Amino acid sequence: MTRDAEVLLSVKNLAVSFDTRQGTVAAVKGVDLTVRHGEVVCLVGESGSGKSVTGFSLMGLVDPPGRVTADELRFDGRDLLRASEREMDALRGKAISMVFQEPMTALNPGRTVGSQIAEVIRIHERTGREQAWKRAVDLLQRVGIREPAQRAKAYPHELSGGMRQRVMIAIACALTPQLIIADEPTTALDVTVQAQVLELLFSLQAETGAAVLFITHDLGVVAEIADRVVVMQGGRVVEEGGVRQIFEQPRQAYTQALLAAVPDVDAPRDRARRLSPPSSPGTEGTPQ
Amino acid sequence: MTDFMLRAEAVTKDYVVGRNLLGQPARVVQAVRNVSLSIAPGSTLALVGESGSGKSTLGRCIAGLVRPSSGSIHLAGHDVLRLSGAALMSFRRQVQTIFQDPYSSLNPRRSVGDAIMDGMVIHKLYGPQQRRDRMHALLERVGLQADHAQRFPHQFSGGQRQRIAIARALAVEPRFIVADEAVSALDVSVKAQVLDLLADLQAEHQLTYLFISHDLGVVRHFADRVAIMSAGELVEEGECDQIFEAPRHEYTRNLIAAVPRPDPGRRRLRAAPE
Repeated sequence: MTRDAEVLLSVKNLAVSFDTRQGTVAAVKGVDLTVRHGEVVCLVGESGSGKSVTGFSLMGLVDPPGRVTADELRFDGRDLLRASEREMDALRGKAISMVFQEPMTALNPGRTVGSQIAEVIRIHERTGREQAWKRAVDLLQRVGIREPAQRAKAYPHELSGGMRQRVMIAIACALTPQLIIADEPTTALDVTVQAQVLELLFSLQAETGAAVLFITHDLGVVAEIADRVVVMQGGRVVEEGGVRQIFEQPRQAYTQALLAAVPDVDAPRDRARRLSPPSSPGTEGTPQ
Repeated sequence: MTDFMLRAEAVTKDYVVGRNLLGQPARVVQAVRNVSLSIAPGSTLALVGESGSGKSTLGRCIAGLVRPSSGSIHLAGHDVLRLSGAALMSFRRQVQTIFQDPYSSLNPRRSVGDAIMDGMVIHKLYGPQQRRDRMHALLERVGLQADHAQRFPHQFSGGQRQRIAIARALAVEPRFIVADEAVSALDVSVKAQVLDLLADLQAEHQLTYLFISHDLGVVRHFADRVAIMSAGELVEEGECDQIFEAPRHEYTRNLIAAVPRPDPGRRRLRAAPE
């Protein structure tokens, strides 16, 4: 209970805004976030809640005209607010890695998956071409891809969605990161494939002791994997707590409504049951 | 014999994916294999399956958008494989489809009001002023405002666009709606609102739904009967609660078991803290 309790990532008053012709849009408005070593924190929210932008800003992946400010942004004792682009490059893909929702767009379609895994290894370590390729093949095997030596030579389009996400996980885990930021990594997958990919991700997580910041809108997945849950709405954190507290005693009306809106796959069909609150038509806002 | 709104028998759809030197089919993929289904008027059948199961292809065959290779489909009093002339027009009015992404199914250059009135114009329903009144009433019925009529699809959120697609479908007084992953792309709370709206409209207009979905939670909540498809074949079909509580096939059991439950007390992947 020593290392587990140590803070790995500490974020205070994170704000992200984008300057547009129509004015400044604030996507994240003062978010505090803590992730401890080995902890799985789920960042939950609907479209536009700011959850993905929060994840991207931690990786230093928000480009101009986006502006990121914070009172504190510390990772493993380092002050990321003062880190140079070179220091960030050394961190990204190694100590902090990322798994995206759509591996088809995150992977390079013109290069074999093996070479893309090997590339990450060669960027961060002094490794020969052959050695890096061997490690890529080993990684493919570790993420459950059969005939890894053959598959390493495949292009992304030759693999199924689930396999591509396994490749992304292989890249993310290649250099035993301390923190994996996973942005809706299973949203595009079928439920049985989702179950397999989650099982893989969290068996690797248990093996390596990495912390995971898991960004999702799927409350079923959150209940399955989270230690702690951070609920976001409109760029702010509305509620934060242990996974049991959030699901069993949600304090905020927004969290309660979100949970009530999930149809229960185990509840007998009830034609009279309504999922949305009675006065809700048009809560998506008015058109611009 | 008129107990069915839809009766599909032994529907098969082959796609030729490769031809030999003589131009004869060398490789054929059976997207739908010998599927038979029926739906009672005013009820909802959910067609469930994973990607590539053939559920959307079957839905398109039923909606008359794709011609099956063999089999027969009777829907709303029409023989879907033998439609032409006036019967085809009548079928096109009575059977409407709502797709997953209303942004790609709505014309970005047409105002929302025109999009809703198009169907009424094509099918020569109502006079010009009545069409306008009806369009305004439909916008309000689906939870939008009458003065949204001049706006364009890009000015609306995903949930609002799906409400527009629903208003557009309803405008021509259909009897049967194919909803192909119609709520899949929506946020949890918006999905809940659109599902409630679809349920209310079904009761008001005695609509029959073919609800194509991969989301088992939504299906359990929304469907009267459920048909499970895998690799082009119908695995099983039955009353909703029966399928979920006593599935006969292992495929169905695995599918239901794979759904993550929003209950940390029942987790399987990782132990819950304390």
